[in-house]
Amino acid sequence: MSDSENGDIGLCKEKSFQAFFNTNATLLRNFLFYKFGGLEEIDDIVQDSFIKLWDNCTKVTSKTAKSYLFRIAINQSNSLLRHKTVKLKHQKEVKYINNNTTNESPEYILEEKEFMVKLEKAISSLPDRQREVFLLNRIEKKTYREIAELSSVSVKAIEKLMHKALLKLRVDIENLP
Amino acid sequence: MNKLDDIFLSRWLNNELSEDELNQFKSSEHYNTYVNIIKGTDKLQAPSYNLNDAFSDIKEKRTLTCINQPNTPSKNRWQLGIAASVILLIGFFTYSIMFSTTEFSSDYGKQLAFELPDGSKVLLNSKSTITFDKKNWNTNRTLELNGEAYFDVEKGSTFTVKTPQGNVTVLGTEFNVNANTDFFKISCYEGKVNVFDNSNDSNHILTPSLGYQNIKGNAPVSLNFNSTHPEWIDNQSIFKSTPIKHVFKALEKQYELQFKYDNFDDSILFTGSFPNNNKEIALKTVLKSLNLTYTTQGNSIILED
Repeated sequence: MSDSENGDIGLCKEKSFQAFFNTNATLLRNFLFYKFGGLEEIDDIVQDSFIKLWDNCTKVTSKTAKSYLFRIAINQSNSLLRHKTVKLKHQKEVKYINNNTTNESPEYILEEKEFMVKLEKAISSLPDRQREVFLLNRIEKKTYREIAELSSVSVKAIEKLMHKALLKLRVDIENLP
Repeated sequence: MNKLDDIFLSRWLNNELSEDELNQFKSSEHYNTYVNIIKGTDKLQAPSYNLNDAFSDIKEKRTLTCINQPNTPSKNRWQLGIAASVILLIGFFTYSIMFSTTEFSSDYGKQLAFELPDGSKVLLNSKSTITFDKKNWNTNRTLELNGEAYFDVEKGSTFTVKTPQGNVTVLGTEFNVNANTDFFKISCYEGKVNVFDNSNDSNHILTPSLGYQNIKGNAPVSLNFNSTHPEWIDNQSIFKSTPIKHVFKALEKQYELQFKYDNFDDSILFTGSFPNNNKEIALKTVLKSLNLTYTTQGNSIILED
C-alpha cells in the first residue's frame, strides 16, 4: 500500500475524472444495487460518492481512488439504508437476457420460467452480503479476490459467503412450492 | 458429502475441485439444482445504466453544491480554484444581445452592485450593462458586458465575459472576454488572468497589480498600478495615455453629458483623473489641463476653438 507522493493520476481534471467514472461507476452502482435494491436511492448515493471523490481529488492516488470511492459509498449506504427495510426491486428490475429458447419443448420452457421465478425470489431473500457477493461474481464476473478488495475483506471470507449463498439458494429453491 | 469442506461450492465455481471431489459432488442429489442456479443466474443482468447522463448529473450537481456554500472557509476544495478579481473596461460600442437573458444596467453616474447566481460579485460602473442567462448559469458561466465592471469571481467552472474585443481567461476558473472595437482594458487585482486580444492575436497573463490596455490607434500598453481595487469604486476615474475622446465618453456616462466639438483633435492623449461625484471639478480638471474652454448648454458641453 505505497500510495503517497507520485501516485497522482490527476483525477481533478474533468477528462481523467470522467475516464475514472466510466470505468468504475457501473460496478459501484451494481454493487450497491445487488446489496440494497432500490435504484433511486442508489443512484443518488453513487452521484454523491463521485462528487465527494472529485472534491477530494487531490487527496487520492490512482491506487487509493477506487477503494476511497467504495468506502464513501458503503458508508453512506449504511447510514442511509441500514435502518429501513429495504424493499428489493430485484425481481422486477433484473431483466432477462437470452430469450432464445428456440428448440425447447413448451414443457421445458414453462419449467424454466417457473425456475427463474423461484431463483429470483431466492436471490432477493438472500442476506445482503451473500447476495452482493454472489451477484458480483456471477453477473459482474468479478473474481473472489476482486470482490474481497472492494470491501476490504479476505478472499477466504468471500469464498465462505459465496458458498453460503449458493447453499441457501439451493435450499430455498427446493423448498419453494 | 462430509468430505467436502465449507467452501466447496465456491471452489466448484472456480473449477478448483479435485476430480474426486467433483465426482462426489456430481453424484449428490442436489448437483442439478446447483447447475440450474448458476445457469439461471447467468441469464440475469442489472438494469441498464446510462453513464453519460449520470456524469452530466454529477457535473451539474457539483456546480450547484459549490453555489450553496459560496463562502466556506475551507478554501482547498478546488485544487486550482482561484478567486479572481478583474476589472474590465471595454470600449464604447453598441452590442446587441439576442438571447433571452437577465439584464443589469446602471444609469448615468450610478454604480450597481449585484451577485451572480453562483455568488460571484459584480460592481457595474455608470451606464454599463451586463446580461446573462440566469437559468443556465450553473452550467454556463458566460455573461455579456457593455461598459465597465469589476468582478470578484467565485471558484468554479469556466467564467466567461463576452465582449466583441478579445478573450480574458481567469486561470483556474477560466475567464474570457471578447471585444472588437476601439477600447480594451483589463486590470487584475487578485488571482491570475489571461487576456487574449483578438486585434493582434496576443496573450497576456496578468497577475495582481498588472493591467493591459489596447486602444485603437495606439500601441497596446502594459499597466502597473498600486491600488487594490479600481479607482472608480472610490469615485475616481483614472486614465493613462488615453485618447481624450474616451475620457469624454467616461464623463458623458458619469454625468449624463454630451460633448460637442468640430475642429478638435480628440485623439490627443490624456493622463490623469477626475472625480465621479463633482461635475464641475471633473470638467475643470480634464478640460483646464488641456487648456480648453467650453460652454454648457443643458447637458451639452460645447468646446470652443
